[in-house]
Amino acid sequence: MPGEHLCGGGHTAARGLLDCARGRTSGLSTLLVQSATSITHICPPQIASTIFRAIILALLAAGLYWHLRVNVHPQLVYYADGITTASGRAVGIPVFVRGTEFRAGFFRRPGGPVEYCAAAIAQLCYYPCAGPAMLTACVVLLYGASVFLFRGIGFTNGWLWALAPWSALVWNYNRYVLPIDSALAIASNLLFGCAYLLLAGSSSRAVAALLLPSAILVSYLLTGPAAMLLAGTCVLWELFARRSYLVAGAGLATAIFLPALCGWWLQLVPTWNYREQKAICPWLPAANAPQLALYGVLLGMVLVRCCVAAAARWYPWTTEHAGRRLAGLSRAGCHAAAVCLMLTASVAIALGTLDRQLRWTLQLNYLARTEQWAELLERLEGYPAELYTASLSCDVCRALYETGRLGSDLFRYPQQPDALFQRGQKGAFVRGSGDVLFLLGCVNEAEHVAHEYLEVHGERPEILRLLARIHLSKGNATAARVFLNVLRNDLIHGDWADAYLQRLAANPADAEDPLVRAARANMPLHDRLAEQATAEDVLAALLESNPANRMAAEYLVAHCLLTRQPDKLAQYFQRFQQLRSCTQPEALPPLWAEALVWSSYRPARGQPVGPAEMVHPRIVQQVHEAAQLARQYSHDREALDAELAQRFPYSFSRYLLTGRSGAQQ
Amino acid sequence: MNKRRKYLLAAGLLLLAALGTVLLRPDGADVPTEFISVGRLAVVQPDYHDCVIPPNIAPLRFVVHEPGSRYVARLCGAAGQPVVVRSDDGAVYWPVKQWHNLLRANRGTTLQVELYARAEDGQWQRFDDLALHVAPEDIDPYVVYRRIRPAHNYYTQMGTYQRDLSTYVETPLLSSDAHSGRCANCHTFPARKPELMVLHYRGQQGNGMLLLRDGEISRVDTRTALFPGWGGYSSWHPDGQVLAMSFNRLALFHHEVGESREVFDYDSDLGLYDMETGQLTAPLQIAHPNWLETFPWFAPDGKYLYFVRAPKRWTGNIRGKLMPPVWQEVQYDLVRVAYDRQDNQVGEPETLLAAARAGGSVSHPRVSPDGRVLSFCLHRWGSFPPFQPQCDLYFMDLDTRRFWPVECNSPQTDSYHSWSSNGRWIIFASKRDDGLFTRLYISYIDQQYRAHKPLVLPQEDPRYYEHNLRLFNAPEFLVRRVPARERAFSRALVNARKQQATLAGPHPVVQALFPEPTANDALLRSYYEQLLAEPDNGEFYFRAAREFHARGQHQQAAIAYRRAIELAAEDQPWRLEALERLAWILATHPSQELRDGRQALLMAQMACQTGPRVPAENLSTLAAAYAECGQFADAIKMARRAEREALAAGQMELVRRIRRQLECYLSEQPLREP
Repeated sequence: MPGEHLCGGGHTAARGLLDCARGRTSGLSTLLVQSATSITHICPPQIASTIFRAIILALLAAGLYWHLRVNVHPQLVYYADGITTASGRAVGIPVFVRGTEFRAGFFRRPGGPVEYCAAAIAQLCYYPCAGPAMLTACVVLLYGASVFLFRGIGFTNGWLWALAPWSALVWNYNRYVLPIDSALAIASNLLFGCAYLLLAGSSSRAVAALLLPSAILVSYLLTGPAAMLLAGTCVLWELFARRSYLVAGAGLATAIFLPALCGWWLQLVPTWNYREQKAICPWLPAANAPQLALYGVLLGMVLVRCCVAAAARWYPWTTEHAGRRLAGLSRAGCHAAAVCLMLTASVAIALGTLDRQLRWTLQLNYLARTEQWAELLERLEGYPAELYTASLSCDVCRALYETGRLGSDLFRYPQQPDALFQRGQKGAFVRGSGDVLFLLGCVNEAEHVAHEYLEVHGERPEILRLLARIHLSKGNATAARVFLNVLRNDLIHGDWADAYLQRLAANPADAEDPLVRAARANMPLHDRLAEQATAEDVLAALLESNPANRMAAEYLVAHCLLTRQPDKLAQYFQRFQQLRSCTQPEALPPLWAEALVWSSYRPARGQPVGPAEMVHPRIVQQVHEAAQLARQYSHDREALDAELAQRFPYSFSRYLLTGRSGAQQ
Repeated sequence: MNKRRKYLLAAGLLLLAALGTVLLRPDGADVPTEFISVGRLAVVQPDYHDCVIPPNIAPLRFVVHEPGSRYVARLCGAAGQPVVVRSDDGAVYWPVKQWHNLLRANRGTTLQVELYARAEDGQWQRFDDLALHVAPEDIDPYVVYRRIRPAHNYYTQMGTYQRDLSTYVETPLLSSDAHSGRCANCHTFPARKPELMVLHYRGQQGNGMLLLRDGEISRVDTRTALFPGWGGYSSWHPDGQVLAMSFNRLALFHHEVGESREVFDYDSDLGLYDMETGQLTAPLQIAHPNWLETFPWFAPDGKYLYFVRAPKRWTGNIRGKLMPPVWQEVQYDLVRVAYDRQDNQVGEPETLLAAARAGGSVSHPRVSPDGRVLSFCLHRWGSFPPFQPQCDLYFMDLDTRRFWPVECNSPQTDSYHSWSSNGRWIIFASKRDDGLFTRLYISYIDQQYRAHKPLVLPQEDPRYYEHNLRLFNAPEFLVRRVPARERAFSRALVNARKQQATLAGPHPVVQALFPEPTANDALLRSYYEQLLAEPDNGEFYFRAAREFHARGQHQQAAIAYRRAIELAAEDQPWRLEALERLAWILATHPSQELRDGRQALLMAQMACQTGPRVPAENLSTLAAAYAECGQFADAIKMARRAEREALAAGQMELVRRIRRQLECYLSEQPLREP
């Protein structure tokens, strides 16, 4: 019967643990043994087992919180929109803003309510404490719902088996998938399932045949395709365990026809991504495979339990045979082994499946988004060159500029010619590009990139902030206010937007924002079509408009270096000299100096514009040596790179001659 | 009755009493009786003061932006029950039913909105009354529009929606939720009747046109030999059998200063698509290779087809590479052709308003339902007004050809207009609020075709526009609901029956090359037949062009060379010769109509991109193009270089010709050769 062994399960496990651990005297086992002993001596067995389970679960939950807080850092995910993993999965949390229009968008489709709630609570990831707490709460909720369901369908030690979906969810977290919507949807469906099993158990089959479709309907509207979990669970149970074919048929028919009916008749369809990935092809290796694993684990366990129940009913000899086999084993021993196994597996999954590579990437992104430039450069040490993306390259250059190392350490990291910023449609996928363009003064290009980013990624707070500043720089305070009004509805950044709006009301010109003032000062004076201008043209025009635009100057130099045009650098040198007051050899950044020497070194080129004495003799010597090496290894580029990487690892000479930079691979 | 039930009953009665108190409160109970008159209008958003409003419009809710802790608004008119609304935050939500009752009772009169605000000291203040003039004529009950993000290159968050104007109910017809990765384009209905509808779409998963007809949705692939792309702007003939549509080759560009975007139309033609036969006809009058024709619009009686056109002053498939240097000089004229539905024939183009006379470029012509007035957009250049802040709406009296700016224009872009079925209302997209987001505005047009102060499309949430990041455009009035739902449209995108349009008759370029029968000329006849069979074969055009050139038929030669260049791959061996020959015609032809120095220069420069050694003929042509552009120093330099090359190659005849040309350039005269 369902729930037959539930009461004594935990107590038996406690005793089993005692039996197992008596031979050992130290560590966690001892602690558990002592706790179990004291509990079983003080309390009646039923209460003792409950307390024992509660202690274990509390420890597990506390451990999970610690793991999430210390190892996973959900905050990294908050800033990760736009980052995709190698499998093409996008990392990030959903957009959420307060307001009827946003809410209405969710509430007019099946599954929307759960998605809406999930989007709201996902914002807690912003906080270093609340994020892990929220994720832990999701796990506990899922666990609780699983326990109820497993009890309902007659799992012995349901509290223990419910660690399987627990672990599946933690595995998700470790891969930086935060399926809060899935967790909520699954938990809701499991609870619906429990409620159904409770009610159906005491009702006639006709009532159950009405109850099940109603439950599936309500669940479908609230949780979307996840309702199929409820349907699957209940139908399997009715079919195999209770052999109520009428009820199972009604449930199955509802599960099959409800989505179609809602779609055709009521125009209620889940979001397209649900239809394409989660509902239609759940068996395909989709980007959301970890989430699907959750469903798989749960449905698999229900199926196994149903099969066991069916086997016991239809083929009683199988259970008798198994019973004979198991008769030789101690019941308490089995329980203890199961407890140890499940706990060990849960802890191992939590600690062993963390995607450290992805965490590194997300950490770098987080440092860039929070403008911790020095830390970003420090954390970059040892980051594999093949994982560098356009976005990261853009952030690295920005970090080098912000820390004043663009002229000295540019080639300490893997570089590519268009690393400084991405323009046009490509820019929409490069998170920092819009910021860089805005700071440079390319306000229109920044606007274009930011609007495309908005189109692709939705109303993210940072992009709304940037768009407000862009439109304010262009003198369009009314449009800026629209973006700020949206940002005001953000749960976390609303206060910032409020304060900005107040400043804007007091000072409609620029809201006393230094970034806006700087952008205005740096904006180009003459119009042209961006598509017909190269990055060099853009930077040169910015310098024409505002010769004091230091960022444009340094980026222009970096562009000359990255595109391997030392002659161009020499051509622009006088302008940079004014900005950096390079009058002494020591003041001239080494990469600039190297490029200047190269521009004069190569035959058939003019003399460097900068005075010769400004370049340190050591640099000149270095260039000469590099040139000699180039002649020596003229037919062996790999050998040349190896030699240069060894002697002048982060030099312009190496990048110029081999196109490579950063640590040698 | 047990105790529990008694408690329940008591609670129920209390609830009913509370509801009754709220709902059945006598009118005006909360309207302050003691107040101070402020003596000015309150600041309200959206501003509906002094607007002429349709009697069947949804309640015009607004927000009072005045300091206060409590607000009261009272709407009253000469007849009907006044409506009183109280608010704590200044948002005035008129109840729908009472609003409609009051408007119905006051059709053709003026309603007043009394506004009160309670100051912090508890004193009520009364602002001057807002006036809402209720028009006698209804507005069409539905409008279909497109809602998109300011940037919409990925087609991720956009859709075509249908809005009930008497309520706030908006239903998607095709939204990105259902068709991610697709762009829902222009939608068109015949005479505002929704039973027939076309909706163009494009995107990663395919392009085409959805056709709703007799309650069934099918797909039409409009790609034909006329144009490799898909249909764009379209207009139904009133009989619902013929659809005029444009085929445009557009590209998006970005400015570095000011308005950031610019859309340029490289090439466009018009075609007439017959619903029954699936055939597309493209008569030369509306699809001439030398003209860019777009924005078709049938007159309400179907006797005229209105459109705009501009001379095409560039050659080659240069989309996405660069803008032609003359892009800011492209201005469209307003033109119409007579249309005979019986024979499916169009007449000769008649220019109603030349761009030079209008002082800008004309687009979006729309004829009023009574056929007396034509509305259009006028902007500085090109055919894409949404990105031009100077764009305004204009009316033209079709009898007198007098045109004037519509009174409801703003300093920002006003475009994408549409007439209601009774001709008393227009709806248009305007950026007047902030210069970035287009909103839909409705303006009343009186008997004298004067537009009154427009009102923004009312929304259920009066703060909607304060935090809405989407644009509204392409509004079209409807007299009824569209008889299909989103699901049907989105399914049709994937699996509806697909009809392939076919081009009926010769390609317009072939029509332009062979205006007369060629029965007596075997050579031309053979070219004609070849081109008829393969209108996309560039080499055939090149051969025909050489023949025309040799015969001195320069008009036809230029057309054929252009077409050959457009169809040629980069590595076609005859492409450079075609460029050089066309440049020569454009630089030296005696007729000013055919000559175009800048285009000739571009062509000649392209023809000279042959590597280190450039043929002397090409250099000579480049010199002629320089001279035509007035750059005589360059012309002389290039002619001397051509002379050297010709000498080196031993082309003495060419040397003599170049020397003659050089004399012209030295005397600062461009070359003229028949």
